[in-house]
Amino acid sequence: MAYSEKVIDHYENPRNVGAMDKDDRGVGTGMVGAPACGDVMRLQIKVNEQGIIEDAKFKTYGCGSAIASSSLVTEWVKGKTLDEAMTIKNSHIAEELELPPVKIHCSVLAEDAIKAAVEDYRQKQGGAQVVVQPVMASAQTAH
Amino acid sequence: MRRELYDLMTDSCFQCGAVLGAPPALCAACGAVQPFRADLSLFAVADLPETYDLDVQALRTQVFALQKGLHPDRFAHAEPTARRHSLEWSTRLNEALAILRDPLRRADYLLRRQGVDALGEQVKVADPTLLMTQMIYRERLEELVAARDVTGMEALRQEVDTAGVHVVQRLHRLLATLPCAEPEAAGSAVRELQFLDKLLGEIGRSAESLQNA
Repeated sequence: MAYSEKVIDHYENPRNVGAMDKDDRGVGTGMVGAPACGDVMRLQIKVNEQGIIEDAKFKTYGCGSAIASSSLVTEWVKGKTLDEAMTIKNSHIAEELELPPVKIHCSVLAEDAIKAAVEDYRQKQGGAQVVVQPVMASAQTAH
Repeated sequence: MRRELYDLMTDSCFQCGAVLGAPPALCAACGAVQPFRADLSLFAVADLPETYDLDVQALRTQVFALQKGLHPDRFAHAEPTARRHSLEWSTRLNEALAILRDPLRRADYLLRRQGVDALGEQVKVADPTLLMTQMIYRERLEELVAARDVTGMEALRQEVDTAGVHVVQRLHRLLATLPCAEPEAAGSAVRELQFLDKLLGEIGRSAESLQNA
């Protein structure tokens, strides 16, 4: 499988790898997994009082595309509001990283992870609107 | 065509009309290899009862016995149609052995037979307990690799292996009667087992590369 240069760059120099205290009220944690490939992804955001994402960290066990997708998302969300972060689509990630069709699901995973992190943060704040997390197939798929 | 269809339905030999045994692949009377039947389940192809509680040794014996009569080598000089049919049966028998002998793939296959795709590419898991456990396993493996701790890795392998055994036990309960009455629970057990299997593979590869280094 030929990875694009951008994927290789994120894979070799992943941005923002790490963990935050998931019990911190200002931290939102999103965890998702893809059983088909056994990937596990954790994405965390630190939100300030103005509702801006100050920092983001991820830890992904999976293929290069899954690591690159989550690495890219942590870069993208910094400085964004929660609503802006929620507009990130897997297609944007796939396009930026030039993912081949068979790896699109890795970008879907990253989109789910950021959404889950935002939801987790919102729930901690008293849950403005509680959206059900995707337990099974999400609407955005590779096809 | 009409006659062929009729013969397929009655499971009688397309060549001599004799009643066929199970699976309807070879005619015992005239030895003709029959047209392949894609509608037969992997269990039916191996002439075994459709159950999760499968005797894997019996599966092996059965598939090898059937392969003896159907292997394409036996039809190397036969006419092209017979060659193709033997290849189709033989390929399907290999598939039956590969899928049914594996507790994970067997469970997945049985669920797919009732329309549940537990491991589809779009299927995602958000079960926090499962994911957290996986994260912790992965982190431990990472630390063990960094510490070059082969003994610790073996202990982790055994722990993950035991976790898998427990999931298989759960699957035996859930799939005791088919179709499964709790497809959601069975599906999530299949996904958990898949994660554990992938992890075992990862542990094996890491241990190997440590030993070779």
